[in-house]
Amino acid sequence: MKKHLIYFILLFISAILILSCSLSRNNPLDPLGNPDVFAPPVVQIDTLNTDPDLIKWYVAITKEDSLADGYYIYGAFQDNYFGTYDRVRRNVSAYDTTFSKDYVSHEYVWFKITSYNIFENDTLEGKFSQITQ
Amino acid sequence: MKKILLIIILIALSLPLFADEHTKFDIDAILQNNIKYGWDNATNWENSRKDIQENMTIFKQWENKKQSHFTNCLKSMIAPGWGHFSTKNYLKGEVLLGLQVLLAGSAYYFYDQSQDYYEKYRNAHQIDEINQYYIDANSSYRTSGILVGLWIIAWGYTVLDTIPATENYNRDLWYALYDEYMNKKITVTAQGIQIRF
Repeated sequence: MKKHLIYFILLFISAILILSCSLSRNNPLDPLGNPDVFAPPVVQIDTLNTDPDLIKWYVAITKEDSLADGYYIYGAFQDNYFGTYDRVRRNVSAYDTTFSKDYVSHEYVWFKITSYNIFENDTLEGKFSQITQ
Repeated sequence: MKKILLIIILIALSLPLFADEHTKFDIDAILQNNIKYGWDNATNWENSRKDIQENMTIFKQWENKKQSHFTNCLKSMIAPGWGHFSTKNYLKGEVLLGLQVLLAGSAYYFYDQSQDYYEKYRNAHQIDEINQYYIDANSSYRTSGILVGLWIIAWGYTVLDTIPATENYNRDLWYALYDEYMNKKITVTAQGIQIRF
């Protein structure tokens, strides 16, 4: 009986050991797994903008190296507010913080923006901004 | 003088006649030693001897037919429930086999799902996707780990439970062989033919 108990405890310990395992964060663009990578700055839509043809934004820069290398503009059709957004403009310059809706089809009604940074020829995109019209 | 010699020779020759009285089989004297076994009379003693002989006959059959704990545990290690099936414990064998198949299958399903998400995580370029795919992959991986842990415990239980299952089988086998032997009307042994009424 004592032998059985020891055997069972060993099994239980091995089960716990298996449980304690987790996957490693080995994506080279993962800021939590790679200390050389940092998350691109979060884009904020300028709500004070009064020009209906333009989208304006800014980024909250917390440290020098968190400057964006560029921005992506995403657009969606009228009924697709919660649906799929197409990337309608890429590689917007880091110093350009406005986007004219005339560049894209007028079917695109909803827009959101992300910033990106380039790390060793690989692009890491930041969080999406809030959706704007 | 001759008469005296003749008498001595006659007495010497008649001595074995007296000696016969002393070598007479004294059942009571022998029984004294065996009272401690409950053989307080010759019939009990004889019955006990008969019982031992019968038990030895059954024991030989039992020795040939009984199952080994080691073999059954090995069977259960290789294929869950096999040890229980061998001991004719079909219901328990089926339940344990089903449980382990379910746990191992679910563990594999979640592991596969976690690898799917993990692959997406490794190829993701957007920070939200990176975080979300990692959370999904890790969640499935942990679920798979829990199921593997439970499967290990179920497997261990199955292997350990094979021991009492084998003991029960061997005990039942003994009673079955005993009943079979006792219900036989005619028994052929090396000592001869025995007829039971």
